[in-house]
Formats: sequence, structure tokens, C-alpha cells
Amino acid sequence: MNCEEFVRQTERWMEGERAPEAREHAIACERCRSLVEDLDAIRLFAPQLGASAAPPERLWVSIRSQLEREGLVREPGWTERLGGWVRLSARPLVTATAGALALALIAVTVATRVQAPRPVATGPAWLTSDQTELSSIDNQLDHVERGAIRSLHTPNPAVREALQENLMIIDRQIARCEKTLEQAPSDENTRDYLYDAYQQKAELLNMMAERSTAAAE
Amino acid sequence: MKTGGRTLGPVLALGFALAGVPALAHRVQKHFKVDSHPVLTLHNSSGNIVIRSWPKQEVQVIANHKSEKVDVNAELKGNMVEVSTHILTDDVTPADLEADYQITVPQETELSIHNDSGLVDVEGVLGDMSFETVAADVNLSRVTGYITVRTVGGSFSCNECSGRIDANSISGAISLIGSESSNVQARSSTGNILLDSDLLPNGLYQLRNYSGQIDVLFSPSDSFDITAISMRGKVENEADLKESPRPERHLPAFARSLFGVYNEGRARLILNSFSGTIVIRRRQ
Repeated sequence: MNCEEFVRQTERWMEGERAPEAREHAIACERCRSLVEDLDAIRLFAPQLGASAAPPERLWVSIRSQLEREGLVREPGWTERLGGWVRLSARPLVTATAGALALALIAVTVATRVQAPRPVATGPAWLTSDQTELSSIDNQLDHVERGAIRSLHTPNPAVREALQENLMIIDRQIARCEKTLEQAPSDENTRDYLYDAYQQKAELLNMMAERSTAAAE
Repeated sequence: MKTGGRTLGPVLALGFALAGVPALAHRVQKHFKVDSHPVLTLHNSSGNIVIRSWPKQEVQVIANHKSEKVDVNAELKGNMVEVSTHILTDDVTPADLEADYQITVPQETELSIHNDSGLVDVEGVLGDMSFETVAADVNLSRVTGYITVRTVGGSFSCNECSGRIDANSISGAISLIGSESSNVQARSSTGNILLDSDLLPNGLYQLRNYSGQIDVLFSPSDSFDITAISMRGKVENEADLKESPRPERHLPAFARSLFGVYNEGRARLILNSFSGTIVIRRRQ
């Protein structure tokens, strides 16, 4: 298993499903091991969250500092903004888990998207082949999205419609940014917009999960 | 007259009958004595929330809801007043969810308001405040503090606000009129953004959307340094700018951009749109 394949299976890893080849790769690759340590911390911490607890700031700080240490984030402001919405939130267990997953996906996205293209030989494949990696991130976010839509049971139709309509808006934004990046792969401004869209999508999915939880209580 | 009497009779009867049934079946009114700098938190699903300030060290909560399927709870915990609407049964219609609030607080109250749909209207409060809505609009006037607003589709308008403003929406419009803030961050994906406010010396104003229009109005006495970039849209400018150095970041050929200094360039304006139009125009 290479790094790209490993990242593709992080969602299953988060759910505790760990294939032998994934374990082997995590042992051999320091970067992926470091990533899954953080993901594990998210997964283990989620059940301990009380009804009003937020995901721990120190966890995000840890992820962010790792990204910065490795030179994967050039503008800390981006990640600080991402940390901001995590700190602002106060949400129950299901939401926290969904939020943590979204956060993890975003963290991976940051790692893959903000990296300037490197010569292939200097780093693991998932840090250099943006397009391939994006499809993996998109697939994982789509998976979370399908779950969020399925479990959205709010009695307020205005809320349901607003959430679904705005999710479509964000999806269109992501699609257009990706298309633009195909034309200008190194364009940092478009990357900013793509990053914003991913962040907003994560927040929106978080809100949807929150509404589902509130309705179920 | 006879005809009129026949018409009036049933109307009066109906009027008397309706008079026995209040339009709003459930009204809750509570008062809480608080210390200085109290905190108010409110969680509501649907309805209008109106918050005003008064000189008393007291929080007054008046709630009206029509249905027995929701319940309103307001309690004091330390120096924090917690208000929430609870859904009591799964069998609720959208109309059942509605609860309207009229809340009066001391001026320096800190607010944390969550309202999914309807309206949030706040005037005259001078504490830090955060708002989170899905479809509800947020209207603020004459407030001061660190103002944080998150909406999904709801609009946000701020009239004569001061302090720091951080507004974020997906499709809601953002409008800042007559404000005196030295730090404004406004971001909407598809909503229009309007900044018609004083640009304070050393102030930082960052407006960003994906599509839609960004309007910034300026006066001849304003002083600002501007960076405006629309990746796939347009930039229109009425300000007579002096040249300023272009940022290091490379822009693709299809992008439209504007960099310059107006007067001494004391405030910093950073305007970004992906496919929207950015307009810098003189205030009339």
C-alpha cells in the first residue's frame, strides 16, 4: 500500500477497520503514522465528549502544527480560521463525530491542496498528485454528505430546504473551483476558494448532523 | 339598516367567540436580576427574536408560542440567563415550532443566539455577541462589541455598529451601513456584500464572496489602500487611485484586479470574488 491508497482508506481506519496492509504502511511511513495518530485521537476522544463539549482545541493545534512543521501549510491564517469554527461549536456526540470526521478530511485536504507541486521523487505520491487526491477527498466528503442527508430529520421545512439548497451551492462551487484548477493547477487564489468551499461544506454537514441529533433527542 | 344588522350579527358573534381565544395561546414572562456583564444564551427553532437594552440590571424574557407541542424554558445560572425552546413531541408541524421572543437586557450583555428560521433583531446592546442561524435573517443596529455571525441562507445587516465584525454566510447577503469598525471580515459564497461605512485609519476590511456583488462606498475624505481581485468576474472603480505595488502572488491572465492607494492609504481594503463583480463607488 502506498500513501495515496492509505489516505483513501482513512475513513475506514477511523471506524476501526484496519487492514493488515494499512497497518504495515502506518508502521513504515512516518507521515501517515503521524496523520492517523491524530485521527485516532479524534476517534477516541469523540465518545468522551459530553452533551455540550466541543472537540478539543489542542487536537486541532496538534494537527495544524504538524502541517506547519512539515511545510504543508503556507498560510497559517487558513488553518486558524478552520480551528475557529471548531472552537465555536458546542455540539453533542453524533455531531462531534461528524465534525471530527469533517475536520480530519479538511486536514487531509489542507495537506494535499496547499502544497505547491513538488518533483515526484521528493515526497509521497499523495502529497504531489493533487488531482488524484482531490477525488479521494471528494469521495469521502460525498460519503459524509449522503449520510447527513439521509439522517436529516428536522420538522422545520425552511431549515431542511436551506441546508439542502446551500449544500448544492457549495457542491457547485467545489466543482467549478476544481475545473478552474484543471486549467491553472498552481493558482493559489482558486485554491483559497476551494479551501473555503471545503470548510463551508464541513460546517454545513456539521450543522446537518446537529439538526438530526436535535430531532432524535 | 336591516340588511346591515343581519351582516353585523354574525360578525359580532364571531368576534366575541374569537375574543375568548387569545391569538397567542401561550405567553411566558420572566425577570432575572443579574450582575454587570451578564450573558444571555438562546436556542430557538423558528420565530422572531427581538432584543433591546435598558438601564436596569435585569433581564426580561417574554415568549409567545401558539402550540402546546413546544415549551419555553428560561433560567438563571450564575450570571447567565439561558433561554431555550423545546419540542415536546415528534408530531409537530412547522407552525407548532414557532416561538417569538421579546427580550430586554442590560446594555453590556453578552449574547449567544441560535435561531434556525425567522428573524433575529437586536438594538442597543454593547457586549460581545454571536449569532448562528440557518435561514433566519440577522438585523443589528447600534450595537458594539465583537460581533460574530454565521448563517446558512439568512441575510445579515448591521446598521451603525462598532467593534469587530466577523460575518460568514453561504447564500445570505451581508450589509454593513454606517458602521464604525476597524476590523471587518465578511464572507458569503453567493450573497452580495455591501460596505457603506467609515473606513477608519489602520482599519482592516476584508470582504470575500464566490459570486454576487461586492459594493464598497467611499467618501472623498476616506483614506485607504485597496486590493481587489475577481478571478472570473469584474472590478469597477470610481476612486482616483495612486499606484501601489502588486502583491507577490501570481494572478492568472483571466483574473481582473485593482491595486492602489486613495489619499494616504490609511485603511486596508481587501476585496476578493471568484466570479462576482466588485464595485468601488463614490458615496452620493
